Amino acid sequence: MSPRELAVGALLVVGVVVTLLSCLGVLVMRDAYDRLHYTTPAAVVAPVAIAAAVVLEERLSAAGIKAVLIALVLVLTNPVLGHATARAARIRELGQWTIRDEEREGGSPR
Amino acid sequence: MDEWSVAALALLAGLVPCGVVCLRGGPVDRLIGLELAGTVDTLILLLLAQAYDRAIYFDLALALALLSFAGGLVFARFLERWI
Repeated sequence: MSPRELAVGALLVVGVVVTLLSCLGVLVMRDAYDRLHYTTPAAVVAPVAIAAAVVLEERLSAAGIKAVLIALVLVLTNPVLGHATARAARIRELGQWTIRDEEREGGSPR
Repeated sequence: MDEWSVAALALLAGLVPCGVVCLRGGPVDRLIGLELAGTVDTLILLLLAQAYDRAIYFDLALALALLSFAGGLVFARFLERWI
């Protein structure tokens, strides 16, 4: 087994384990705000690890470049989606998503 | 079966918790389950494209990544007030 194959395997294991753990985290958490945290590792760590594995295997061929592009799209869109979802949750709950007066310095959060 | 197919199969198990989250809780919790399922699906398609060794199959994962983002934004927008 060459070092390159070993690295590909390790990166794949990292990607799969991180994704499965974040799926479990979303299942276990109670609150929508808590759940939202666990979508991030699945959309940042896992695609980068898997794309790195593909690039190691294929070099920068068409497949490698597309894999990097997919990882880039996931990494860039996840924060936007997270913000939109948290915003929707707050507007449903409170009627507005910006900081309220009682949440400023010294106030109790939420 | 090579390591890419095994990884894709392992990721399929991750869709089960996402489905359970989609079935329980409030509308926003369900939307989060859907978003995570979209991410996991993208990764599965990425791994399968490499497993089948066809560069053109990567386009499928790219399309799903972009469309699940757009779909999530539309759902979030409507969940703010109208649903």
